[in-house]
Amino acid sequence: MILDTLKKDFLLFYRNKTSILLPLLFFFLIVSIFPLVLGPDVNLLMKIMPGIIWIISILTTLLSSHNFFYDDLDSGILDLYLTSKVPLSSMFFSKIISCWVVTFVPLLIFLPIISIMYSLDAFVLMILLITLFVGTPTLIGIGLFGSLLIISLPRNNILLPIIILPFYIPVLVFAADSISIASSMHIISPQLYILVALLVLALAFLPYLMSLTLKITINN
Amino acid sequence: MYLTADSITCYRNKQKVLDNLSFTLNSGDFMLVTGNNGSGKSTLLRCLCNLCPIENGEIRFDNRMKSDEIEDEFKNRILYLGHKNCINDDLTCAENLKFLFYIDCYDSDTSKDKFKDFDSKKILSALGLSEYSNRKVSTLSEGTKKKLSLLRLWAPRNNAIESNNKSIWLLDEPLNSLDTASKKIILKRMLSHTEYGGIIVCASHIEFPDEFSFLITKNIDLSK
Amino acid sequence: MNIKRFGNLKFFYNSFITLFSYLPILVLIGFIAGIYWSLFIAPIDYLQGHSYRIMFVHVPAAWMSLQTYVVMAVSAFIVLVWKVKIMEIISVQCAPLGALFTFIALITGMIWGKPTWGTYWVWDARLTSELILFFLYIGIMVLYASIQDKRQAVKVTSILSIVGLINIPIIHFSVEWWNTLHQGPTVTKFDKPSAHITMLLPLFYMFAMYQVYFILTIVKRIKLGIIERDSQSNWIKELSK
Repeated sequence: MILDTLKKDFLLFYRNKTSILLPLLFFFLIVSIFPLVLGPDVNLLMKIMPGIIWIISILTTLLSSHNFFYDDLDSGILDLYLTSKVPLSSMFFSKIISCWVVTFVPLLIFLPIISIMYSLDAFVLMILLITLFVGTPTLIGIGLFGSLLIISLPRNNILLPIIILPFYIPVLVFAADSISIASSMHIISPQLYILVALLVLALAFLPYLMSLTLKITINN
Repeated sequence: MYLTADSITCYRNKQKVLDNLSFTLNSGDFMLVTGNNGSGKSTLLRCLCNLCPIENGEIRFDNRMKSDEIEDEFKNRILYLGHKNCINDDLTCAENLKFLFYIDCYDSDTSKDKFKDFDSKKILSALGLSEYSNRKVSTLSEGTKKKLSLLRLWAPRNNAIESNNKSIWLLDEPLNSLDTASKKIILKRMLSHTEYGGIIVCASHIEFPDEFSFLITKNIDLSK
Repeated sequence: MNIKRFGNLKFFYNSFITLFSYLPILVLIGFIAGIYWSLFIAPIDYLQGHSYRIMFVHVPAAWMSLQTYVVMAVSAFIVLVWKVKIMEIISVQCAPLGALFTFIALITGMIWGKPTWGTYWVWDARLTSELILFFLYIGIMVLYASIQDKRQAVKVTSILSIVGLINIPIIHFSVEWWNTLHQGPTVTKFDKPSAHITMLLPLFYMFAMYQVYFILTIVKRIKLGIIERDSQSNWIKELSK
């Protein structure tokens, strides 16, 4: 089931290539705006770059997870899932994965190029990549969960961040901490372990919570 | 096999939509649900397939209460075609059909073998869609999309021949925006379904074709 | 809606309406007495002087803000699992109350911060996690307010508040960790364990008053909630005649 859903989702992304490009472009644009606001001081930029990247990751997550289920809702496919015997939890598990892949994999690939603009050294870049790799699936999972909570409402872009942002704080804090600790040549910090633990926790429980939420929100 | 609705009441946004509605459907029954817009036809179908919570009353299946334990059994038996057509615009007809059949035939143990013997070309030709097989759905007309979604009625598990199939069909406006020829094909499909002992609940506000009015064994008018 | 549940709500309404009609005045008097006790009777703190006295308002509010969240999430759980109607109203009405408590805790914390730290806001671990708690409450309230179908809104916010309950320890933990890493200007802690009994007594008295206020308000809200939810039913109609 998980594989079949993934296959269909990736086929859709392949057909609709702009959906992959848009988060990447968004990310790139915002990253390039920061120096314009803060001034081109390389030392300052180097220092705050990881934080900036993380904040933009959150914005990207919110944008892409907000719209992720609307196609399925409008075409009635969510109803179809609910009335069929398809295991909803594994369906949502694969949705988290496919949403993460389409949003963040291109981004992780292009991050080294972006980091040149900030003259980030390779070590910090690696840490940043690791934390993003471990942390962003959790963000996507929480974002998709939040978008299911409000799926029956009129499309409203500002509601999702208000509901969801407090839940992002642990991931954000531990990611930022593990970056700032890692400068002393210890790549693996306890914070990174906690990020992994949060990821496991999210992937284990969120699909179930999402199926519970869907049953409640799609009932009119 | 029979499906019973026992004085069901349903609210939507604090407004009573269904009021104390009762009926029993035996195998072979075809119930036509008529009524004005907003009279609760769609809501009734959604209540029957658990997409809409009922405030009061019971829905029983073979006289067993609808509850969490037999929810799976319900899902096994009920096929719901809402007015949204479950079609993905970026996929081709054949891919859409494959996805719909996959979902309809999904069963944790038996899905694989039930699903294998299906030839999308052959199914598509049932409603004359075989030439569109590799066309993206976004290029097709609304009527064609509707036809494509109605092809779910031909899915391997959606007939009454075998006992554990989805033999209760809940169809929301199946004949809308179809041409006369396709209407006939769909109605013939319904006829053969009821002949095999299936149950059909069909919501419709358009005139039912006269030559098929013999199909109807029960009629509920919700506008009263 | 079956008859039994109707009966439950009606019974609840009738038995509490008489009991709680005169209590608000008592609570007001209790609060004034508590404030008098903490402002004039309790001894002065030799380290912080008189400014510590705001603790008598601040600390119970902070405690209540957490407790309200737990009450909300537990009743939300009961709503989802056993579908008890009274609990629906409780879990919905806890959110604004909890937000109020967090707000009081935040404001009094800031006022206390000015003489102690020299600034109104410090990114101290407790203040920060209190702020996040405030955001959580706001999120739940906003979600409830924006869903039109209130039956659905209750269930959806229930899920959110349960997830929030799981998240609160993690948030707290992460903020603590973040704070120790960045060694903020927090040197003095709010409540030293060495507090004397003459200070603790008015503190607990104030906490008890907060509790009474909480229960009183919840009951009042339940009353209103019952009227709103069952406004169609006969016994309410009879009542309003």
